[in-house]
Amino acid sequence: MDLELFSRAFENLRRQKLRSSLTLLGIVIGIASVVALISIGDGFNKSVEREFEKLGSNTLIILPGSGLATSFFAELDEDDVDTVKSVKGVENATPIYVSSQIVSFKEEKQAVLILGIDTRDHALLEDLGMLDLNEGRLLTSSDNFSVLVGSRFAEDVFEEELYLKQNIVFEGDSLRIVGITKAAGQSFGAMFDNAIVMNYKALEDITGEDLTPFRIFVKAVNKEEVQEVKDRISRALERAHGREDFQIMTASQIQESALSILGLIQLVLVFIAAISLVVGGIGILNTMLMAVMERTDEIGVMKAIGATNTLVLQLFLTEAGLIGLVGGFIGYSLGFIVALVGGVVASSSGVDLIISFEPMLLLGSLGFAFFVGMISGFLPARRASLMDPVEALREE
Amino acid sequence: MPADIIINAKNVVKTYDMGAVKVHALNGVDFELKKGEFVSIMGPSGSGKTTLLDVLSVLLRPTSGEVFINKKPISKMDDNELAKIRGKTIGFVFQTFNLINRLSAKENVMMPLWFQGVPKSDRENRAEKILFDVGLADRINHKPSELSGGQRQRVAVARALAVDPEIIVADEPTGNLDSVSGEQIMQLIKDLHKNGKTILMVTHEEELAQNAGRIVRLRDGKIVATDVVKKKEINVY
Repeated sequence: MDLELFSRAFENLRRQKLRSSLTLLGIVIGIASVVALISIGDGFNKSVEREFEKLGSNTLIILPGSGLATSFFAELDEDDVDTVKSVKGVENATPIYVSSQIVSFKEEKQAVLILGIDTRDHALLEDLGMLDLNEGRLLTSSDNFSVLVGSRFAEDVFEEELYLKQNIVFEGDSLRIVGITKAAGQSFGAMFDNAIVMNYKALEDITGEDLTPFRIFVKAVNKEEVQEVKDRISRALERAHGREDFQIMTASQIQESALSILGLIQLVLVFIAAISLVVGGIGILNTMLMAVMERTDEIGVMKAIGATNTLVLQLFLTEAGLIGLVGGFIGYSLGFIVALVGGVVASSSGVDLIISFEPMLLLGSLGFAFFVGMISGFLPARRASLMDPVEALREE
Repeated sequence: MPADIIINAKNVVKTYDMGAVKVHALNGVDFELKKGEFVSIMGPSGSGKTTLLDVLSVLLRPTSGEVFINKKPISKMDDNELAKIRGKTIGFVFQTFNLINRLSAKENVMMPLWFQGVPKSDRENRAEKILFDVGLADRINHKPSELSGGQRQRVAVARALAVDPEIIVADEPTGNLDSVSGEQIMQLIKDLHKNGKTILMVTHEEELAQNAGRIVRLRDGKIVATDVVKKKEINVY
């Protein structure tokens, strides 16, 4: 395209600074919100993906209940863990128990989540990235009154931060903190981050409850075989239970469903943000219509002295496109900054959000904003190009 | 058609449809403009002289009849082609100057050159030279609002000359000027004619029309008389 058109169009916009910048604002807001939402959504996706990478593609998770109706009543039991362990292709399996309890620390009471684990299978949980120690030590089978706490739990749950060797009181018993785990990811890791972890037998003893596994984590010998292992576990458990009152998910299945939900939410939000772009486009349409009306005599002169309809059309289209392009650039920058700030805020409240610069998003924003400008400018530009020079000249 | 006829109009009719009434601005006009001629179009208000000028300078298409520019019929051309012909062949000088007020004198003069695809540096050189020629060397970066009427019309003449067109079309070029400025502009136009430009001028002042070699008189959309002006060199200065 003719570079002259761009400089001429830019000149024309520059001469109407206030009006041009107000028109820009519509596009800026639209593009900024779209960019921010896409960046933040992608950040979520990336951190989810990263977490599942840690979980490993040879991981399977068994949960009670096959659907809504049965999930309240269906239970897994301790024998199921042994059944799963004996299935061909299973390297190891370990249950996790969950109990919601009131504990106190220095006069302060809090409702917390206590996770019961089988200390024999630490290695598996460590593999899954759930029991990375920040300080202290892991639990042994004789640790009945020793517990681990998640790093976030240590910091946030009580007024005072918890440290190693301090005691939490639970049902009259003192539980000694022997280890603090590292902050892990979002879904399973987050569960460990925000909980007390102890030997499940000790948990049953103290509460007097007969706990059943909340989840059973399974590690397959090799990842190529995950689907077959899943089918075998399914058959073995079905035989044991007499019916299919459980679900087995592979890590990649969970990841897919998590990502597809995220994707849907993101799509809806971006769609809403895109509506503001339409409003921005109408702003450009309005501004350009005004410009065409104001510059009627100028258009007449231009045509009289040799400007073709095509050139007049291109000039006004370029002006509209430029508003879009500049708005797109400012909007992108603003949106990216918002996403960065959002990333920092999210990280400080425990949600891992990876905001990264995506060249395609920049190009896409610029291209789309330019396109919105051109579309909005088309009607006014066409009106200008089809103006009768004689009538335009005589108009004062 | 002899080779030196630049504009040739044949039985041109221009009708304006004003709702219930049809106004015949031009009612069968035949006209020839030869290369190097200076023709004045005269007539009372509403006689159709401006309409004729618009049609002859291909700003306006006739309702019927045909206009040939350098032997080419304009009815066969689309609007873009007409714009190109105007840009290359015809330089316009309007009664109300019609400069673009946002642009400096130089930028105004450069504009038609842009439409002809002349590179920017060449445009600047050419615009500066022409503004110098019309006596505005010290005003090239002034906006029209910073110039007197006479100076504005000189910028307009400079703009008309920018592409070095064959024909200068002037519609009451002195109509909005005081007598001194008007005489200067008229002198400028006469000089252009002396230097070989073909001039087509609309005026309602007999004295100005006498500068031409031929006066075409219009009444009610028809040419009622064509006078050949006898050469009599009167130099005011």
